[in-house]
Amino acid sequence: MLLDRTMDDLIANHEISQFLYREARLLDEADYGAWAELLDDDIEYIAPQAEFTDRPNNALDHIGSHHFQENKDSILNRIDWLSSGFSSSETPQPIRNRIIANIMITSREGDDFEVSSQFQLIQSRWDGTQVDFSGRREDKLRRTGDGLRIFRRVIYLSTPVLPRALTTFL
Amino acid sequence: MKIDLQEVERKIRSGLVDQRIFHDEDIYRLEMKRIFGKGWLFLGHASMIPDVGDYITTYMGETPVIVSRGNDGSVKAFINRCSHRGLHLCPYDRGTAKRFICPYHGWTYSLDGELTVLPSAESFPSDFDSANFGLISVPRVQDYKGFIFGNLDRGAPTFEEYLGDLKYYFDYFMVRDYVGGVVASPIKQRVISRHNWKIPADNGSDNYHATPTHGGAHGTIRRLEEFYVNDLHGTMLTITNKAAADAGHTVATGRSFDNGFDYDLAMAEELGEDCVAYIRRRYERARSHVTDLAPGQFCVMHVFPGMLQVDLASVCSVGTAMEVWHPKGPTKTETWIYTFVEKEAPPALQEFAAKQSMRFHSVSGSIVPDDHENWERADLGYSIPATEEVPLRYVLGNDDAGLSEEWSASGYDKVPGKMNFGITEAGSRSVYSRWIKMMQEA
Repeated sequence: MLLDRTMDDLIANHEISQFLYREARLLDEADYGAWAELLDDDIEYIAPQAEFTDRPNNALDHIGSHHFQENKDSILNRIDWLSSGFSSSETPQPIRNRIIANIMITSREGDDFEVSSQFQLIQSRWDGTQVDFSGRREDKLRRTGDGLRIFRRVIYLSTPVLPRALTTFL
Repeated sequence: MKIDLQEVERKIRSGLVDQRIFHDEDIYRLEMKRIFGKGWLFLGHASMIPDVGDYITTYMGETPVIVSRGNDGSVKAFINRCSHRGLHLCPYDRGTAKRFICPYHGWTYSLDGELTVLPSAESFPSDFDSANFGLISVPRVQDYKGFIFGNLDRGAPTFEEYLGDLKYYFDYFMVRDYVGGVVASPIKQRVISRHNWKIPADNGSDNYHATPTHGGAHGTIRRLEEFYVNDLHGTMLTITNKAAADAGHTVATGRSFDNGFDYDLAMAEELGEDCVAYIRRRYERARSHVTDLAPGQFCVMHVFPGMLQVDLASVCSVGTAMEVWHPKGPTKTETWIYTFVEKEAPPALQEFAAKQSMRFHSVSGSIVPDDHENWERADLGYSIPATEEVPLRYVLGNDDAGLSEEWSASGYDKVPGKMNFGITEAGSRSVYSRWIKMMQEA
């Protein structure tokens, strides 16, 4: 019994980490079309602006200037823009390499998983300048007939000041 | 100073800009005194600090400041620096406080900036008077219809005088009293980009770059293509200040590329009946308030030197973006992006408008990344030693081009400000004229 549960956890762990690594590779290669297929149609994709606060008055936080508050539609629209060839910040495309680490299944209910992971994205531009986007992600993943799908992702960036405009997904 | 400002001025009069003004350390130091030390700078909006004790921190040039709601309910602004050893006092973006305490020796200041706790007071000399050691106030703070501006120069003109003809546009596009005003969250998006602050300032009125730089940007906005209109009302208008050609403030405007009203209505229909009712009401009120500036005008408004409003009037007119530029040395600029939404709009519509604004005019949206790429490339061009003697040309468009018949027929000859019709660099020339004038005034 205990062995069964352990095996089940190991399999889920392996399946989820391999899924997140493959997802990272698609983003590194800017294969956004294939990446979008990993997103549930009802996905919530959120990246709040990081702040340092002291008992803040939160009354207007819902209209704050957050990096991403997206649904599937608005993600697809962003992909259209990123792939349009009209964006000078993506021409030529930066070299991107990201490391996904500290993958933890924090809760599980049947085929639904809550997964926490850390990322570090190193992005190099044509002139040799390099910036680093890093942070933590809190995902909700679901096993479907087509494999795992992401239906919620919250990205907590590790800095309040972006080192460069954000022209990719995290 | 290695660079002769009179020579720089002579060139600017012919539409020529010396590339060295974007990299030179002495010029930058002087700008901190004469431009950011004397211009009116955006500090915040009243809605960001609604209650007594609420505060935000920001910068005026490189001067850190605390903006707080004092005990009497009025807005105060102080230099964010302990009066004892000069420490940066408050390390938070925002919060709610009864007092500000320096971590070093415990000097404690009230919301009104007074030194209220002096540890080991008995050991100070008998003539030490705490009343003289409060926080240093920003000498001029003005709450202009909810928009809080500060000036480090005690002798500065009022904010209204400083705005001049631009006041009319600031009221219409930014303040929006006719729809009940706007509110903004203190949460701002922040980014560092590697270029001088004057590049965004001059880009603010540059309608020449709109299509080549941002041609693909509308892709991020859902269903927008269904609302494109082909009969654009002439082309662009650039407005500076009629009182003086070197006003520096600019408005780049024109009829929007889409039917904003129908777009807003389509979006509101998905959000609920109250949102539809609001959109109908706001357009009615906007139309009856200003007959000569039709709703559906886009607006990019630069309040010299450090604030830009961007209202595309098309991705949801209930929201608008504001950029504030904080220089961090000659070749680095930190940009903050705030989102404003109309105060009386239903919450669902406010939230939608804020999201749309961020999808379009933000660092993670489709407009700002390409601007930053261009400005960083301009910075690279300005660092080439072999081109120091080769001036940059800002000669496009006549300064007094006037209006086309069509624009005049629509009443645009009746609105204030010096107008330039068509694609022009007149706004950028006005920025550099204002800049060189202030740089030469001690």
